[in-house]
Amino acid sequence: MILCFSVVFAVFPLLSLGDYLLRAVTLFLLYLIIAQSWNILGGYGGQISLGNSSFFGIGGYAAALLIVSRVSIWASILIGGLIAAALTFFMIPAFRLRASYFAILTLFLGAAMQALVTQLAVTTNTPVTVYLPMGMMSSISLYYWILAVTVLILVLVMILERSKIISALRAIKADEDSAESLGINAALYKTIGLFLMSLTTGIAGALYVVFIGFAEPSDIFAVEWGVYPLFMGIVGGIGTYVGPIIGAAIFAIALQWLVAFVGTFSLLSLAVLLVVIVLTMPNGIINIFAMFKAARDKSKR
Amino acid sequence: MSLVCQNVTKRFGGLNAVSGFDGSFAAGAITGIIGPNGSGKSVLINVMSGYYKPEEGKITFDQKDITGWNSHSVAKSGIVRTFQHMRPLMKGTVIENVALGALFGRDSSSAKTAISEAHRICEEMGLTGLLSKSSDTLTTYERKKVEIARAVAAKPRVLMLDEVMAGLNPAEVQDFVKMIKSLRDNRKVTIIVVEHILSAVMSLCERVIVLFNGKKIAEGLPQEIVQDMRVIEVYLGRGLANVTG
Amino acid sequence: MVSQSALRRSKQVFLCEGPARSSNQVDQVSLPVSLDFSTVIQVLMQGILIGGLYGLVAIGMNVIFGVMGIINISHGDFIVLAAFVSFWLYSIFGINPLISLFPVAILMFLISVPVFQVLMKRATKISVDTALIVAFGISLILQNLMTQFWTGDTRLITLRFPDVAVQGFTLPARFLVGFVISLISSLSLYAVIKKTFIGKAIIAVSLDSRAAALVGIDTDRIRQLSFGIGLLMAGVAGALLSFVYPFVPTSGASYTFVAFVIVVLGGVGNPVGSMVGGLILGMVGSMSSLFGPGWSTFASFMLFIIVLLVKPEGLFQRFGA
Repeated sequence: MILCFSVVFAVFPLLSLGDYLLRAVTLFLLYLIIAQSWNILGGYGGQISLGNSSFFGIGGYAAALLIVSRVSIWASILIGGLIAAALTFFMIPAFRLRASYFAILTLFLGAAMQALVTQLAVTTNTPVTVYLPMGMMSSISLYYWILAVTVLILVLVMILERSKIISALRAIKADEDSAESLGINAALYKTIGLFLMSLTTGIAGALYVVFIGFAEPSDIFAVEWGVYPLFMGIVGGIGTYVGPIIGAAIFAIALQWLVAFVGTFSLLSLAVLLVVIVLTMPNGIINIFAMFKAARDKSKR
Repeated sequence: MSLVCQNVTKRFGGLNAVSGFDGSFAAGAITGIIGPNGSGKSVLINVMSGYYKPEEGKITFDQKDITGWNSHSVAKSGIVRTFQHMRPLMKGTVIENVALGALFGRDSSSAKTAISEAHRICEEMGLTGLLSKSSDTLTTYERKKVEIARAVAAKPRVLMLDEVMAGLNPAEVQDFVKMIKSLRDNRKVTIIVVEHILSAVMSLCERVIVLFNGKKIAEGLPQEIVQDMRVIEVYLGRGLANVTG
Repeated sequence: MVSQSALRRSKQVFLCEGPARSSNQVDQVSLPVSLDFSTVIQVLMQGILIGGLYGLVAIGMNVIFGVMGIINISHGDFIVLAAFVSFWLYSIFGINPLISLFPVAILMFLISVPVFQVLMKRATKISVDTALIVAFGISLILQNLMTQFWTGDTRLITLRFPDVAVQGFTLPARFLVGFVISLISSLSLYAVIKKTFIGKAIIAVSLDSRAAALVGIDTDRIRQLSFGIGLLMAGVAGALLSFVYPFVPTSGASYTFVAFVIVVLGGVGNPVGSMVGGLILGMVGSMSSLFGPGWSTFASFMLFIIVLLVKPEGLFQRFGA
């Protein structure tokens, strides 16, 4: 399945359908990365994160600072991701509390990180926005690199799905006490899930910064980046492998449409859609298919 | 295997849910814990399994002091319990759920081995028809069986079943009694059963402990317990106890 | 209309920040970081007074959390909404916020009904996570609507109070007024809950909703009522906020955070804990902002994490006092 995905997307730029479409699909891949990342802890593990913007932002900002300091692009991106993953340590104490506390804490982590970064810039008298040197790589080669990372992450999640980590997370999501009574160290697995999620989201943030050419805190730390993966996960189907892919596709198209037609009301519309969808089909589109199938099977008997 | 509780006390805001409990559970035996509602049975199980930490006392398992250990550490060392109130099962098939025990319990297995272990256990417990059924489509009877199978998959040395027969009809209760007995016989696991259904306790348990208001008030063979004045008093009240005496 | 000079004065932010998202935000005012004793004490006292307001903010969330078991992420945004309503009532009709406090609170209570019936009730029935996401959605919607209609400009009503001089330190009277009213409101709510039958029903539902239902309490009604009370308190807090602190549409988040920290650390349903937690947070916030506006958020966050590390159950017990 991943194979055919890779082939389709690898061939795509060769069709030279224009720069606009290239950028749109590149964005789609980025959205897919943050959706699948969120899915690891939020979808499978049931620990909803509302503030992935913090990891996205830190990954992006750190990478930008590194690139500007002449570190190689790929090292910067990786280190950016690792620094984002380091935020995990702040969140560990939160795992002792219930999942809903975790959700709120992630929200404020985002706000706290943005405040911190902006404040540090002011204190050290450096400009807040970091501009990357122009023309580091062509759009096409960037596209292929981002595609490679996307495929890597899809493979990672596929491996995780068969591994103990996601089994543990699924058990924790269903009932943490039962999971613990079987020998699952919930705190440990939640931390691992968070680490992976923050790492991959941070890398996505770094890629984004390279993509647009600058790192602006009010952009990359914006609440939007925390809402997008949540939206994609819920629309597509949480806790499934294909869900985030579908969610990302729908989201990418919807966002373009929204920005074109309602402009500044985009986030508002997304929020309204989110509320409506979570109330009407909380398990996402994937499960609508499952429901139809089940209903059909029932009527056949 | 040895499991010993010494002077275990669990307090909640000034109220003793369990007071000074002393007990030792013989290897390979099926011990019952009974008592009226609120007598502390589930609390005791929670303490022994690491879900609660006792304010006083010591729990020793195989000469190791496990007092204050986390639930998952206790489970990994070989004490596995089921919960009184039905907890949600993981979304997935029955076989996936049962395999969880094998994946994470004592001597945990790899993903592949866990599945085959789960198959074996399900066969033993009569769950073969349900293997690929989704966990949210099970009846109460099936669910409880899956919970027990899952716990068994974790290779327990001690299995603690907390009111596992609540909500079952008499035929199902009998079935469970047989199943629990054969589990013990086949695997040499020590079983502790917290139960309300006295008929089950009588036919299942070799030894019975009676709790009342957090304290142990009697311990002995089932036949002895049923005739013990203090026990009757506690269940029926002093007046009636005088009548039946 | 609030005069331009009043608006300019209001931009002397020294404690409030909110997540700085819109670019036409408050200018980064560099503070006179003179850490002499009197400044420190002054800031400390202001922190205490603000803490009273924080306590009030927390109480609303406390009631909702205690009864419905969900953290209302949009709490702060309702507070800001109420603040805006007070602001416009003053700017357009000249109604003093101390008076508009009452209609605003009632308005918020009325708003709570459709919000609960249409959204929250359904959400809590599906799952706790769903309720969380819906609350988050409401928060985003409120913030966006307010920014769209009322722009991101900072607002503050300046009322003419004499500055109170206490032992040589000047305290802006508005902090004192806010503190006193917060205290009165919190105590009144506490009294109502402890003494009235409805209040006892609320406590019953928050302790064990199934048992409460068995005793004949209409748990849905109680939930609706608690949500209403929560929003009502938010209304009071918002009305106070409108003249105590400058605010923007996105300020809600920092108040939600404050409320959340206080509820978790102060113990759910524990009014004493809420007040004390409020005071502590108020002091931490104001002290850390001496170093710069952005530090306040970060410091509060770190404080929370540290306390969690040390004492995960919080500093007070559940439903204490």
